[in-house]
Amino acid sequence: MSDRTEEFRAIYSAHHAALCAYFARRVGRGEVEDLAAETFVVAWRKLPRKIEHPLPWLYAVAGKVLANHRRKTARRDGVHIGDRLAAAAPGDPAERLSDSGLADAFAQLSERDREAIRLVAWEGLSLADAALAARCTTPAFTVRLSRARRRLQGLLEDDFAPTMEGIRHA
Amino acid sequence: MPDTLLDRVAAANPATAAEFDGLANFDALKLPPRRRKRLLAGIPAIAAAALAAVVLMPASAPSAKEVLRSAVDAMALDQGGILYAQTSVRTSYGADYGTRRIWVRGDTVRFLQVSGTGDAPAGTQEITRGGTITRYAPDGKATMSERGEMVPGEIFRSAALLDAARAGRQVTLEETTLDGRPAYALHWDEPSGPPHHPKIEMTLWVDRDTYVPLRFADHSFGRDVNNKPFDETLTETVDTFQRLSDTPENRRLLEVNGPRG
Repeated sequence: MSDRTEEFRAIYSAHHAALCAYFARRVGRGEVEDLAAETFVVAWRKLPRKIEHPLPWLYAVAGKVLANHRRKTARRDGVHIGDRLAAAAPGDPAERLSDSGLADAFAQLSERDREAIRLVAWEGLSLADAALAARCTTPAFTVRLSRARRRLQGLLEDDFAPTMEGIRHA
Repeated sequence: MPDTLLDRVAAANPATAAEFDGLANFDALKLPPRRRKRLLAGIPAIAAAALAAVVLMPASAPSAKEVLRSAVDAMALDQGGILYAQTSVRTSYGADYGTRRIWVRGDTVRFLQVSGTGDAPAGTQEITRGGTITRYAPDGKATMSERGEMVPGEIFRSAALLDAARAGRQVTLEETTLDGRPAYALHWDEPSGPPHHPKIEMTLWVDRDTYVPLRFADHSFGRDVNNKPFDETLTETVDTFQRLSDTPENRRLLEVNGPRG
């Protein structure tokens, strides 16, 4: 086996579980392992010769694999991608969020906002690494995350306000 | 200082890597033979990318590279002094982000909403210092504190501009006038994302003599998450842009109780 294959095996072993978790946060469990495998196949073809910190790069590849998967699924099911995203699919991770207020607010964000928050809060990436995963510059990602946080905060506050009003009038 | 919002999202994480430990099976991967790239084949592509920023710009003097470099220097946050800008932000979709004042010294930023209520009521302030953002209500009371570093307004996105040029992204230069003022307009596209990959076009106008920023526009269009077509533009117009000297008196401008303009 070539050195290149051995290097890639090490990367696969180190990051397979993280890639599976990435997909499990975005699609139904039944699709997770296939998508992770597809990501590694793409990565095998395109992995840069020298990469010290491959996980953000793998997440960027995974993002493209996921986008292709969603397009194919929408085409197969004959629905608009937006309709599919708006309505939780069977096994959709959105259904497994234990915090229902957060789940409602999260569902109202755009996919771009959700992804900015997921990469930092769920994948635990630094802003620089999240920017790599999102394929943009760190300042651009920082702006994107800041806006997404504001929108999520606003949605949570909107959700909270009527409750407070109710208490006040009770 | 905990980031309560991101902590709440993190606590709701629907999956962990530990759930997939032990499932890795490298030998089951069907890996195609790697295509052997000839090293030399990559060189023209790299050169073309590096030249893209230049070739696509007119051959007028000064060169596009000089304009880019001078614009970046004019906005650079690490060139000493205290950067101050007053800007007005408008959107094509009706949101009025009003007028805001921003002071930046190194990693310390003060943001003051002067008018408008797009993000926060007039009088709201945010101070970023030591990796923590603290928001203050108009009465000066701290209302929120969280980890993070705020990029103070699109107009300060010089690093993104520089990165775009260095990465060979297509940056086009146009000589124009803006409200009667001679200006250069720099146009480039931002990378988009799934699922709809909307088009994101950025334009930065800089003064033709001083290279200070005059206006920034973020134009995005395509289909939104509900698959509805959208076409939005956010425009930040610079009313004032100055590099103040780094004196003890001017540093008070970075304090929540400091002078407001």
